[in-house]
Amino acid sequence: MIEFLLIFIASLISQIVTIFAYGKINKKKLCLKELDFVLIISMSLFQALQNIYEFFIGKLISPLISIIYFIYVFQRMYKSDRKTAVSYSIIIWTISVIIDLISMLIISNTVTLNEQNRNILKFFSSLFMSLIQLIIFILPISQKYIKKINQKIVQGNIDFKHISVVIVIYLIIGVFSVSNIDNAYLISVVVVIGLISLIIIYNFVSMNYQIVMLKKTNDILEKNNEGNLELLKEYRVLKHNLEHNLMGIKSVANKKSQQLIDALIKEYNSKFYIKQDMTSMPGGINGFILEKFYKYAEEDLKITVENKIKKKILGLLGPRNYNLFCEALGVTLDNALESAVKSKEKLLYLEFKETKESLMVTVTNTFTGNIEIDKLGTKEYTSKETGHGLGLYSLFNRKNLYITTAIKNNLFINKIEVKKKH
Amino acid sequence: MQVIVVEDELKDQKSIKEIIREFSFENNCDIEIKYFKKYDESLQNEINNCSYRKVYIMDIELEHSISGIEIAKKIREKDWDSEIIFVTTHDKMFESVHRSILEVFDFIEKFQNFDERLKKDLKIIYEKKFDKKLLKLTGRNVNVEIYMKNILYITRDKEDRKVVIHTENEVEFKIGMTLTEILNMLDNRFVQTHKSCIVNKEKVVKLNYSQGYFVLETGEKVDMLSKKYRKGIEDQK
Repeated sequence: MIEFLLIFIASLISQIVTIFAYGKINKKKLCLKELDFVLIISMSLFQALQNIYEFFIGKLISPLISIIYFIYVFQRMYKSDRKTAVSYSIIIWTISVIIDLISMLIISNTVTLNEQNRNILKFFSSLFMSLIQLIIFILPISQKYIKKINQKIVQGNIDFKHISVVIVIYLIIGVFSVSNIDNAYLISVVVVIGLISLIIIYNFVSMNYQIVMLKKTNDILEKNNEGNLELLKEYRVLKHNLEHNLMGIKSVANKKSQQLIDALIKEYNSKFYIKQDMTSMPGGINGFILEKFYKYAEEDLKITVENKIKKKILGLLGPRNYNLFCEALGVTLDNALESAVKSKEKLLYLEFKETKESLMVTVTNTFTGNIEIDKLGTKEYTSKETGHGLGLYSLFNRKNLYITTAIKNNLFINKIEVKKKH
Repeated sequence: MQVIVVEDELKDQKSIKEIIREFSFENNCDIEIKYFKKYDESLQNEINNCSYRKVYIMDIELEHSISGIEIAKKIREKDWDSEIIFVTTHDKMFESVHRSILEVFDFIEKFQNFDERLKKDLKIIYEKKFDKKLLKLTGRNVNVEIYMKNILYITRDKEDRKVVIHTENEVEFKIGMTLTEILNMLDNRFVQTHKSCIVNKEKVVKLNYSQGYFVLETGEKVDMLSKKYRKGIEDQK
């Protein structure tokens, strides 16, 4: 009776230590109810009886029962999620088995077991195990590692290296079990190890499957995203150019058409400022330029325009190239005005001239800030704070339009050349 | 020094000649003067000859010819070293735009202290060092020219693996080159002060090796002075 009581107390202590250790590692509050006490006592009774009478079936199922029991207890007493409870139960069980094996090795090599001292030794060995377990779970360094292992299991962040370590640990346990423990216990250990290995391999495989699926989904999403961005860029270029095309048409349109175009531009770009009551809007490129300058009327810009073209530009270029000319001039003027207004000197100089073959406009402006020489005029590069960098880029490689960009100190010089109609 | 006068009014030509003669006598310098009444082939030939530095004194409005501004543009197509002085009656806005864009040295009003102003300009040009050396860089879609005298210092951007050229005009240029490559393109006013920095020593007012910084004439303090480069910096002084 006394022996039974001792084993019962040892089992009770062992359980309390395990439950306490779990709370300590997880930094969770224990909430015990009456039923929990019944559970702990029942489990201790089962373990004590199993230890005394050593039922064969008990030997087979006791490790599995203890893992299932702790999974349930951790979830119940600490309101833990299942994944964490399972993972900690496996870790705690593995550590217990290792300690158990070591203590058995020590005992078998130091003490001669007989029927009288066997249960007393079991009691002390159980107490010793609980003490070691307590120390392991209380030490910050081991806590850190246990947490890390748990994190890896819960997140499924395990790879071949981790699996190899686990297999090696279980092999060592297996080897020691074969040489030190009777067959029934060995079978039960093998069953539990097998189950644990299955859980880990399942996690590993499912995690890898998820990764592969996620990668595939990600690739598709990335491709879709790239396509959408490309579409968005094209839309922006189109919108940008459309505004200038509309302004070009406006510059040669009658008053009613001008009003219609104004309404359209406003619809496309609400930020665009149009003075609706600009009653004496000059015709042709003069009007186009004036509209661009109008946005900066309040700024102290020093603007000079020199025109050496005597004939009407629309007549010289023809409709298609006139549109192209308006697009290029619009983009260049937008950039030039925005840069000049931020610079110290605030200078803008426009020169229109014609050659036998083409019509040329040089836009020169002062600027301040940073210029990336390699990227200037390439896709998505902008030196402006709010730009997309598509304006200047959209002008390159256009038929009948030749544009060159140069910088001389703090002067930005853009030369636009559009072929005359034949 | 060679002066090219482009003036269609004979009276004004004489007056300019007199001022230059007086300036030459007062400053004891030889000045060769060439006169042109308008833009023609001989003036274009003169413009084409960029082998030496000249001073162009030009009237803006010329009869039977393209304007002085147009002639200036033709000069700048070939020659950025020579100085241009305009004799004008135009307003200031016109002046400021062309002054920057065509690098015009001065606009002198015909009827306001003309002789005094012209002599003063000639003296500055005569005494000032000839320094229009350019650092020429090429990007994918742009050609860049920066006056070396305007460069303050050049640093290496480790993240972008590019060099950053800091200039007096509050403009910074970034380009994918190494410091050694860019140092080879510069003249001997530039010295390496740090493994990641080259400085225009004409712009430096203070060097502090113990604390590892130099101060520029703009007042900017740059923490890129290494003792390792001290010998090189002092050898070039």
